[in-house]
Amino acid sequence: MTLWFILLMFGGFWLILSMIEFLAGLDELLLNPSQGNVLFSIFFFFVAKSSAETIEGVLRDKAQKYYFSTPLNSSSIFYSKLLRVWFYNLLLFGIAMSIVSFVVRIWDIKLPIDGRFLILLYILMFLAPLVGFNISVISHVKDRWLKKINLVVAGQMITLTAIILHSGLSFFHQVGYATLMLVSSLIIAVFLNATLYEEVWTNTSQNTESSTLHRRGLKLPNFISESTRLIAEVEFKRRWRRRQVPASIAVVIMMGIGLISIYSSLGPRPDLGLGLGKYFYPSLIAMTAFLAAVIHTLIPSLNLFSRDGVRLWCIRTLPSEMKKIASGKGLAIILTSPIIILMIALPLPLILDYPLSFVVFSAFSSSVFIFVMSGIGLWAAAKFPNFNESTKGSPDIITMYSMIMLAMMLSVMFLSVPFTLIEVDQILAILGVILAADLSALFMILMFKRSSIILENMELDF
Amino acid sequence: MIEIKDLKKSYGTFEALKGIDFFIGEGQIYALLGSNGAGKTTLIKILTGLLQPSSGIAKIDGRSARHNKKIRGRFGYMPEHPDLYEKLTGREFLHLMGSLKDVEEDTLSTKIESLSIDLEINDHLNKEMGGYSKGMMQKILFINAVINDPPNLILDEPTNSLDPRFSQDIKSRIKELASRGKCILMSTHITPVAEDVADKVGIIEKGCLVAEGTVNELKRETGSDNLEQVFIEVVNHAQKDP
Repeated sequence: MTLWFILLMFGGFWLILSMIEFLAGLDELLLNPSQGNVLFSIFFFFVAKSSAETIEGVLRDKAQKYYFSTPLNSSSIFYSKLLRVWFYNLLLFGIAMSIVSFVVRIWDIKLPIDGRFLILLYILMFLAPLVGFNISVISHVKDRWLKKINLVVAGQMITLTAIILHSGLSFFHQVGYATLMLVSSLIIAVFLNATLYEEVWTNTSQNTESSTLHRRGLKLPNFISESTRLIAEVEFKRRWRRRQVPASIAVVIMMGIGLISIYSSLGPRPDLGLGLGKYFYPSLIAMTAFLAAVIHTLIPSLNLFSRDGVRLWCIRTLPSEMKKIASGKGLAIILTSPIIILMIALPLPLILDYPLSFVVFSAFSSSVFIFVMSGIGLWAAAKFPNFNESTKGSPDIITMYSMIMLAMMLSVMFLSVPFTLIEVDQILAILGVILAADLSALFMILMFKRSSIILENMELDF
Repeated sequence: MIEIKDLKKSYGTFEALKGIDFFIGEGQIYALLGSNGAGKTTLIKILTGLLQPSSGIAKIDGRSARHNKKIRGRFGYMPEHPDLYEKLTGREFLHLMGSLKDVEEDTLSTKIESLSIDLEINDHLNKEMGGYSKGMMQKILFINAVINDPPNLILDEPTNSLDPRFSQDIKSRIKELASRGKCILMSTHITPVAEDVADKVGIIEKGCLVAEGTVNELKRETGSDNLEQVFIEVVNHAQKDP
């Protein structure tokens, strides 16, 4: 599996870099983004990533009580955690750059970047984890005013980065200002956050909030069996309170907005110079819907059982059928998945005034992605559980990547027939895609059942 | 009733249980004593269906624990580690578990209310369990174990994190449950707890049941004054003479 993963990873890098090389040769405005846009996107991604890592892996890490009970002062603990997030992100970036260098060298790919781009990229990669870390720490200070002032200061780092990268300043000025921001962020971390860290960790890790603050839940219809309904409601509530549901919905909405903004930049029928203009938006919608289903359905499903970890005895000792319990867990994920259809599969075809047959095709294709990924997700959750508490049950990257590939292959398999029919007979294509959705729903139910059998026989030796 | 016959569990070459036998009848409290890592929790997990035995029989009310589906609902279980769903309130958790154990809605609410008042945890029931102390979680686990009034109770270290007042309370509840005909298996390494409540005691060491009997029988056999001395005597002897 590891070898397979390495092959896939190099193949993936080759594919992306080749696409960049190809797109760089085209004249379309959006397909040739400025270096500033590219740099800012990478910077922003790493800020968000390190911010999430800081909250999940540092601030909510209860095991730090052992450090705080030693004579170590809290600043030392803070620095160790800061360096962990910082170095981990730099390591990841370093690995990615090594693979890029290797692929570029071997396949002689011409990328539209220069030395200046790389220098700025490296400075931003030192800055991004620091900014993400600072924002997460500051946003968990208890004092409301201190939190607001600090957040404004830390948040300015993102705004200032955007200004520097888009202002048309000379390269040397850009490097100078970016370095200045790196130093400022370090000062914020060392002189402010280090002193607040113990308080912030206590506030975050010792959760004593009353649930009356966020009672959000949902009531499912009674035709669903009671065990499934109860498990789904509670699972949804837990995911909501961990803010996983709102965050995931927000990402899908952003993706939908992104699609519309591409349309508003490129117009109704962008031509890539290959006479393939009419396929541009359908392909884009399909790719976005697939990606949204991966983020919103597949990845959250993968840790449905392992996140429970030592608490799995609760469901394993219940008199209810395991199939109903597993289905309840899966249902909690599927419940919000129609957002993918609403935000990605439907708006653009409607705006573009595509024929009704295409709109229906688009909606049902997205539901195929959702059903396939829910099924694979729940099966893999039982088959490859990761009970390591420090990872919060998330599967390792190899499993995750393999499941994404499996989902892609199965989706293609389900949709290949209706897709080939669309050029021949639209009515038949619609019937075909409805059948594909039906079959993928059946596949999902079978996978739920398979998952419950694995769960039933799982040895819970921890 | 609980029946264990020649129960074995191996992990590769390591034998965690080497053929255990005992029987617990209705209204009996059986305390399983043992050093850390002796095999108590492994045995309990096999009985609750969380682990599968390598060989032998583990039965609850005459039904094999291997086919866990048939025995679920016939026992209440309290695990050793009080880890619960952090993002649920105590009330939500108990309500979920009670409903899934087929307790009627009205009865369930009344039971949660009365048991939580008795165990002085009612003020915290609407708070997320992520903020609970170990003792509070232990109380929630005890309520969960008895909420559907099961005929058998399997309690793994039930008084571990409780203060002496509540430890006493739980002990008297266990006795009261046994007087109502419940069959209770309790694992502990706190010998005074076992001495106080158990009708029968089994001492497990390195996967073997090395001594079994009433507290008085064991004291007599080893010439000891209390169960703690019995335990030390028996375990030392077992370690010298494996």
